[in-house]
Amino acid sequence: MMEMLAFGLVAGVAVGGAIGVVAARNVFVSALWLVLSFIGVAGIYAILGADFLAATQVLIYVGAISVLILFAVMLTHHVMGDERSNNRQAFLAFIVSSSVVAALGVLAYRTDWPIRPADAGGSVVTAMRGDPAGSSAASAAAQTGASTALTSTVDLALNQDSNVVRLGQALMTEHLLSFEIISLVLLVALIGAIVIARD
Amino acid sequence: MLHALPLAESLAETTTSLSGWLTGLFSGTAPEPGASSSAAGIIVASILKATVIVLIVQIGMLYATWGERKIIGRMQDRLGPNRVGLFGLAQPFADMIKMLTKEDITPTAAHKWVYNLGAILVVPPAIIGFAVVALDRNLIAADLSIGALFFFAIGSTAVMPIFMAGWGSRNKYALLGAMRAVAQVVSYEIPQVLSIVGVLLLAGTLSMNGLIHSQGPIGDAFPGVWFILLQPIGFVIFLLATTAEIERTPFDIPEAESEIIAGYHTEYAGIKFGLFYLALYFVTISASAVGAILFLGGWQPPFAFLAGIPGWIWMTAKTLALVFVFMWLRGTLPRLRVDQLMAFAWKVLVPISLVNLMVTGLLAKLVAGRAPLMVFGAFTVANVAMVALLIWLVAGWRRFNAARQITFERPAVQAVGAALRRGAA
Amino acid sequence: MGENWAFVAILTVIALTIPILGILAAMVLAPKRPGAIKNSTYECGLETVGDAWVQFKVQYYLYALIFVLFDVETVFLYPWAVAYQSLPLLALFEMIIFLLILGIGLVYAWRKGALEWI
Repeated sequence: MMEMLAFGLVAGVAVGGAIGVVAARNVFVSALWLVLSFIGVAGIYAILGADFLAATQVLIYVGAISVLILFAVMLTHHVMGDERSNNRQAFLAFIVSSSVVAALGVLAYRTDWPIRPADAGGSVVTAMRGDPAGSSAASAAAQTGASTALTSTVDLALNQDSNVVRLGQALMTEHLLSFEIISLVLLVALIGAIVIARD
Repeated sequence: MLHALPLAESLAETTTSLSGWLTGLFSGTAPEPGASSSAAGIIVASILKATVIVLIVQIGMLYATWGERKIIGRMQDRLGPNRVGLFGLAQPFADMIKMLTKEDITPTAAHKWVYNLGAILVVPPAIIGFAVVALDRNLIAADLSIGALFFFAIGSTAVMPIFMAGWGSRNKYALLGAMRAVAQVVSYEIPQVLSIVGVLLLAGTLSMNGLIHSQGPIGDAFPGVWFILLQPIGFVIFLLATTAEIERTPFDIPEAESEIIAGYHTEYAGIKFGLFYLALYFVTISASAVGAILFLGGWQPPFAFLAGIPGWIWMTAKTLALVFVFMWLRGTLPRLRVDQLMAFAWKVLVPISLVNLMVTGLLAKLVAGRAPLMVFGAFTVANVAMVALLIWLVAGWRRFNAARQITFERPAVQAVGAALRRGAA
Repeated sequence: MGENWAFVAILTVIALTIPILGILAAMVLAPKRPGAIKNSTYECGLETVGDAWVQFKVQYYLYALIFVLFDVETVFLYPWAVAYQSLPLLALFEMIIFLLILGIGLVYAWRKGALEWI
């Protein structure tokens, strides 16, 4: 129930941002609505338990790509003005886009999405909980006995079960070739952009 | 030795059991692990934690401003504020009252929404960063498994409000200042992140508590020494990059009063200007706290026999030490020119941190699982070698530059001068 | 783990209310005497020259672009670093190759003058 509420909220932010992109009059303000949409998508990742992906989404999209988009907007536009795009084909566009949305929606609704059963994610919650009763007992033990055993019995169990480790292992073993090719793709993008921008 | 400090011991125990009780309180209404707590419990606990964080940070920030003015004043051989209250301790409140009662002058040409939102949105990233700061063993608001990454991700969202402020003011200088500030913040994020990857390599985790545990002596994780001893280069780069990220001197071109008036917050008056100032100090404190966690061991004592002193005292002391270092840099160094600033980030810090990262990676594999002393020894040798290499390179570059001046530039300038004199005569 | 994210969400909401409270307090406490000259755009005390449009330098775009590339690189560095201790030595060399390729990109940008401020 709470998850549905959270999801609704976050999805609303993502979709609302997207609507704002289209509806804003000024290009700069459109870009800002896009940033809001990115944050909404990050929230969706967080709800799905992909916390690394959520943080990466914020880091890359909000932190880097939004800046790039905004700089590009300012490069090409007379940014201070209010502009309304003149679209005499607005009605036709509306019909086409709403039919595409309807088709996609029906398709998404009718598809049989395979749902994987929940992983050992439950262990994360138990590990995080800590043990209030145990900690006071353990601290009493530490006081009287162990002068050298400075182990972490009094601590909250560390949140060690994280997808990041498995992601790292997968990157280096199964998907190694894709990983190295990514670096080549980035290199090519850099060189291409410099060549274009210098002209 | 633990028995030698009974007062500190009982303090430590009180803190631990208090934090244990608070943790039990904050887990909602679930007394046994494994049961999920109710939603209402989570919400109430979160609101409590958030309020506590905001209060502590607010007071910390107020006295950080007082401290800064006093410290910089003393460095400049003058007293800081000392009129308002004893030793000027009520000065922050006077400042706050001043900002609240100043008239809010909004330029008519400004884009109202973006202008106001820019001022409002500067503050949340600064506060949210505190969610992962660990004050003591059990006193961390949200021990996310990706703690360090979360902090830097939130830090990178601080770029947006700067841009909004600059553009929304509809002022050429504000916009120019905003673009420069964005370019600066963005350029220094890379060295900042690259410098801590070495730390992450050694600790093997992104969570803040995990990072602290691996710095020993409490907990027997590898490597058991503070990371500043293993990664001094990383620490220095982190400090410099963070100084540039929060736009403090010597990297404060975006708000340099003599150069671009006040940069992207030129058109903000009263409390809205105060919000930028607030965000600046919040980020200073949270960045110092994260630096203390990553490099100085968080709430770990330096030696095992000092474990009686509670962790939050250590953590606070280390954070304040780093805040002092930021203020020290401000009182000592002149401002860098903007092209020097950008060149420094990309041409100096990024290559150094990449080399540091590769060397650390190599060493980490070689000393995996050994005793702390041996790890420390191996890394010290490597660090000394890297610093020596760096000094040699810098000296060589300076000699090259001087030689070029003597052989090429000065004769060229003299020839031009001679030609001009001949032409005039 | 869900509780942590719920906390972050609630902290975000509370963090948003702090500046709003400040502005509301100022609206109550501060005087309001708008004037035409006071509200005009500030340009060192002179009249504004031309529309507020800045001659944009492509340099800013290049910095942002190089930043995006290195940011993506750091995103790959995080899982590698965290999983490092459970990976064989080969993983180090794979990452060194990755970093070197991007280092070549940096050197290219440097030589082509994309890192100059002007």
